[in-house]
Amino acid sequence: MRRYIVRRLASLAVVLWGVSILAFALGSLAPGDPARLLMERTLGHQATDEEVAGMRQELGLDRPAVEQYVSWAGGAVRGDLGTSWSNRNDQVSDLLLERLPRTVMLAVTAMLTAVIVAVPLGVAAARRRNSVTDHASRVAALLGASVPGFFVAYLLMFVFGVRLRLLPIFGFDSPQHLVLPSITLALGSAAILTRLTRSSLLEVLGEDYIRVGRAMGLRSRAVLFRHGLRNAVIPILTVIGLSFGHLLAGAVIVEWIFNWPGLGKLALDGIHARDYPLIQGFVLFTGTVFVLMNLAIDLAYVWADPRVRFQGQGA
Amino acid sequence: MTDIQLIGSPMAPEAEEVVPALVGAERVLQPLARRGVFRRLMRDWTARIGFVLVVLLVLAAVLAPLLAPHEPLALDGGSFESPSWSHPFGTDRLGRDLFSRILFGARLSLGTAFFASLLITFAAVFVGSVTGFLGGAVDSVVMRVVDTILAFPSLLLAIVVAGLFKPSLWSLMLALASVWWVGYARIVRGLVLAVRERQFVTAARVAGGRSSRILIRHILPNVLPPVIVLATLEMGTLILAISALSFLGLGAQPPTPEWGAMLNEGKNHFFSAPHLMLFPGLAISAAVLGFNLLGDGLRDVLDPKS
Amino acid sequence: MRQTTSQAQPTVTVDASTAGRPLLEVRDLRTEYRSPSGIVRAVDGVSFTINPGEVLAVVGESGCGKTATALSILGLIPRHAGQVVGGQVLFEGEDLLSVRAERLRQIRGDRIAMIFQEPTLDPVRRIGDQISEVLRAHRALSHHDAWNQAVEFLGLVGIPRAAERARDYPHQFSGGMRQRALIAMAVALRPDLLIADEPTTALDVTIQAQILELLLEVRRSLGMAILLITHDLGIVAGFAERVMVMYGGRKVEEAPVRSLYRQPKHPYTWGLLGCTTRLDGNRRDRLPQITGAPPSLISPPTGCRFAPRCPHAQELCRASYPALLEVGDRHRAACHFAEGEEWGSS
Repeated sequence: MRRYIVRRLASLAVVLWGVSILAFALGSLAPGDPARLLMERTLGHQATDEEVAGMRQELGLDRPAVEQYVSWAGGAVRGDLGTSWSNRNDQVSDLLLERLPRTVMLAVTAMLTAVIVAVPLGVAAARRRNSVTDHASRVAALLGASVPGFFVAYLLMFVFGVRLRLLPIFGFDSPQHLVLPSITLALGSAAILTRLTRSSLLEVLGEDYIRVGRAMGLRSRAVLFRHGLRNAVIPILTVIGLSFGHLLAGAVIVEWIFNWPGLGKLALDGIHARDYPLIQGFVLFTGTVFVLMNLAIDLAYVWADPRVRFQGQGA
Repeated sequence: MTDIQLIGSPMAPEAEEVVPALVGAERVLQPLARRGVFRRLMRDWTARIGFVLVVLLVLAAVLAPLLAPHEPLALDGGSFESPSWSHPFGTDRLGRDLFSRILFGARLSLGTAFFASLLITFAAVFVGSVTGFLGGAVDSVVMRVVDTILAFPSLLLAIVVAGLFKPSLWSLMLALASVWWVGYARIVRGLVLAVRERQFVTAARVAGGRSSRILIRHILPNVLPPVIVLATLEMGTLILAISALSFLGLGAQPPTPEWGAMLNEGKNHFFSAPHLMLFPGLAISAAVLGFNLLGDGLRDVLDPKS
Repeated sequence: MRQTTSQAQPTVTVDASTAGRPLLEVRDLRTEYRSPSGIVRAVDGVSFTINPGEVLAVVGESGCGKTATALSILGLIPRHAGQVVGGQVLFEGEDLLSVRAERLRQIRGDRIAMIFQEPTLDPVRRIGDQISEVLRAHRALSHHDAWNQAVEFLGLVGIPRAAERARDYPHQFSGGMRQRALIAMAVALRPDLLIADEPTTALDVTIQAQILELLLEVRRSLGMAILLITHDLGIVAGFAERVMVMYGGRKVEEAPVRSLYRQPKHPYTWGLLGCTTRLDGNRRDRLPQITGAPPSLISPPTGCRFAPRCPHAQELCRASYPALLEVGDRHRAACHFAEGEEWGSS
């Protein structure tokens, strides 16, 4: 167990290092001259070569790439990700931290929505295999996985915002503003989760120990939940963890559509504005979050499965 | 449902050690040659619907010039006309016929997805088989790169990469390929490692065969079929990603009749002319649904467990 | 009959009113499974009885319907896989096929318990908890009391340091120990009937004898009837009192153990006996005397189902199914020539 954790942390460090290189490279390998871009943006007109050279020196772009990386990564370790080129020259780290809670709020709401809808639906489908419920859940899941979120978003806006006037469609001012974006975001994950809950529960329900439970006269509810779902929870947890990553990626699109001022919108605005420090900071930040989340999933395994928990204890 | 094979075994939770997708790939390897795959595929009603959707889509793409009542770029109607006999899906702001644009859009969506997956497969097979075959330092360095890219959700990274370039369908395709190849490469590497240990490869080595020859003659033929199947299964995901990026303005640009770009154009007139979004949205949905249904059915048929 | 007063009373009490009446009577049981190629008639009109405290062995090749019979008795055929389509399962006069689901649940585990070939328990829960859970599903017991009883029974089935090992998870037990734990779970409520479906097949040869011995021991102290399902006539001799041989979803012979071994009447039984000389033989071995494969139960042969493989088959055998006839004292066989010839003497 301890050896496993040490190995896990070592590979984590390597991947984090890789993420930092990737983040840095994405900003510096981009075509075009960032110094000229920034100079002309601040000046508002064509820059002379001297002006660009001055800017290049100011940004440190005249130094070798390795040196630039070291100073950037050194700053990143101390929480300094540089200054954003758009956004009134705010600190990138401040921008990210300011936006993070809003995206987390959106993603968590979406995840909860997905779990609340998908797990019961998947359980019902598994329980009554080939029933109407099962087929309906299959169709719903197929549609949920196929209809793009950015299309659903507008359908929802049209129905609930424009026609029924039940919900606000843009912005971030009230809890009601959370409803449509999180439903949109939840859709894809809910679809995957429904099918996965069904298939993993079916697999568990086919196990011999489930038959043992029934043969010993346990109540079917106890068999289904205490033994069935409890054992299916391991793959379900994995998918919830993985979907969280997909949710954060989907949030980029959803935030942009609903004008939700979160990380995703920040990044997309940064991309459109070619704000390289912001893009680098965003990639490093989200990459770190994903890596840590994968670690959390692995630790959740240990919690969920005694076979893993007791590994290496000479059972 | 497409992520099921991502699930590792609970006994070995370490992502680096579990190559679960490989299991799926190996499962499809042997029975691929089995006869009657298509017939068995058509037994499932969902796969049948998927097949019909995909065939319609391919027909639309191929026959677009014959089927389209108007030129996709011609301004030959009034602005924002609602659907009518002469314009079945209505017209956009500039009076272009939406139905014709969607037909031509099928070419762009399918074509981009097809070339992207070709690119992905090629890169993955090259990198995966070379690293898997050579092993050593090259292998571990490349695999760390793969791990790093896999740490991100593919779509997120593709958005960032596409954003670095001047937006076009080409840069979009390159951005997708630059991110998507890694998962496949890992699978290819796993397959190569598995095949490398098999007897006939060892025999060829003992007989003094050259490495490149062994790779091409013995290993690739075993690695390609599952990768091609996987690429086919992922067609729906790629189409979705292409339209997403175009919708965000990072891919096809107006006036290109790409579906995602059409949605992007339409969203500015969403309240006054919702049909501008409805039809491209439905087209994307139908395409993705078709490939997903077909892919799911194929996965079931090729899975010997069923 | 049902022991409600004292949990610890180890002897069988046979009520005067139920004396002489069979504990379980299965009448003309028919069970069908669905398969991609058609309906499988897994159990095709099987009848038998078990008396209180008796040990009946059901013997046959895999696919002969013996497990399906056991699962049908307890209503454990998965709904999507198949169903019981006819017959009666009378447990102390109560038809288990027509009782309400809740009543059937109460009977399972408490009055009739079952152990299976694979000794599997829920991997994520402690063994003691799993046994307590069964106890608490049938008796109003506190957590604490249920746990203590679970430990007691784990000790009874020969788990050393039972109080400690009850806290273990299944993966910390060996296969043999898991089967012991499952036996503890099955007998913890002192059922009247224990169905043991190939309880030793998945275990090491050395463990097999121990488990059988344990079953007999448990039966001696708790006095339940046992329905032992096995493909191995070799383990039946020292274990059961009566034997029922199944073939192709039907009962082909039934007799007291001694009578069956001395004078097997059905050629299939004779074939089975031919391979029982070695206990340590590979259990996956095909029956050496019987060539060919068991019949398809999707479209079974019209006549005797064994005819295609029978070395003595006549025209009559292929034309009509032989009735199950009395051929000796409590000895019955379904063969047209059962009374005429002694297959074993040839």
